[in-house]
Amino acid sequence: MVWCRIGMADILVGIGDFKISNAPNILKTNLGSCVGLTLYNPHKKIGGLLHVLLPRAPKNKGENLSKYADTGFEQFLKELKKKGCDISKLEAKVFGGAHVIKAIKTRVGDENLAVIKEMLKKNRIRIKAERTGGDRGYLIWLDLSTGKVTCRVFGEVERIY
Amino acid sequence: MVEMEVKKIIEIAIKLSIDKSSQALSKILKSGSKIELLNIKTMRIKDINSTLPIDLEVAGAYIDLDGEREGFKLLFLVELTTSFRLAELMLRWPNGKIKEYNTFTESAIAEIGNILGSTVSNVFSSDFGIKIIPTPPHVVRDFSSNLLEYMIMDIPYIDCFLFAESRFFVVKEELPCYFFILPKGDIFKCAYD
Repeated sequence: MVWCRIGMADILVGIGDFKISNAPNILKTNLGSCVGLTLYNPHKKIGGLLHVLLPRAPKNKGENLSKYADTGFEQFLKELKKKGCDISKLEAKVFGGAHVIKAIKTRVGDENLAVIKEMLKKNRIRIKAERTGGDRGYLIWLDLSTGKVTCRVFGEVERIY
Repeated sequence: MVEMEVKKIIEIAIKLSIDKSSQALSKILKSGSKIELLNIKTMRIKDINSTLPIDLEVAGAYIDLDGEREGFKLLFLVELTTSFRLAELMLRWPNGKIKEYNTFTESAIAEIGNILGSTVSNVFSSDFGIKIIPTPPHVVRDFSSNLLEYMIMDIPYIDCFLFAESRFFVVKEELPCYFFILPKGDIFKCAYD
């Protein structure tokens, strides 16, 4: 069994949440049908990880907007800009969106992915790497010193993107 | 005041459920099982994946209990290696015979899911007069945090929810297992009324 690196600099990103930090910290999360988006500025070594649960916010949005792909992306980008990140310099990597439980008919993972990609396209942010879909969950961690994302799909070995 | 009383009902119903579940499991496993209610708390969705180690490899069974009204989601969760021993105990096989996750372990987890689902359902029917019926269990293998994530996928348009976490031990072996109950609607308020 391969374990995630656990250290003082590891920051766990919750479901429907995002975190932004800088080197040498590591942002990590788990993904099932949720989608994880990392945005990283290699010059400033600042980046973040967004974990979206659902594709679009309903009319009555509730208090946690970061759990929806559309509103979460907007909030995430806004916070990165506040930290001085130039959008044109951001590198995007996308993970997750699996369909694990066959009994759940709605393919939320696919919808989450579609909205995230649409938002990236709208903001002209290029996807540098992705590992999406399938029927098993993911663990990902973004190393803010390098911008590399280590991804482990359940039952597989780690791969670096 | 009513809120306090409803909280009491929640605690009683959950304690009754896990107590009866442990009796049923003890019979099946031919070994005492002790269930501890760790906590009943309101959690934010974003905090779920800090409940258990993020990279813990587990197997679990989901059961939905619905009927006259929206009921619960139950999740029985156990570390992959522990599931091997649970299956051996159920099959009366010697320790160490099962070396990998297979149809025996999957069936054992499904069976424990069935037991938990039916005992909880019986508690609500006999003690509170609310008919709820368990669905067949869905057995899933994944990282622990992902199983908790799947639990909330059907009721996602909420930011906080009530979450009961318990841990039980098959006494002779001290096998740690987890049992989560997630109410979908106002079933406890109904039980109080």
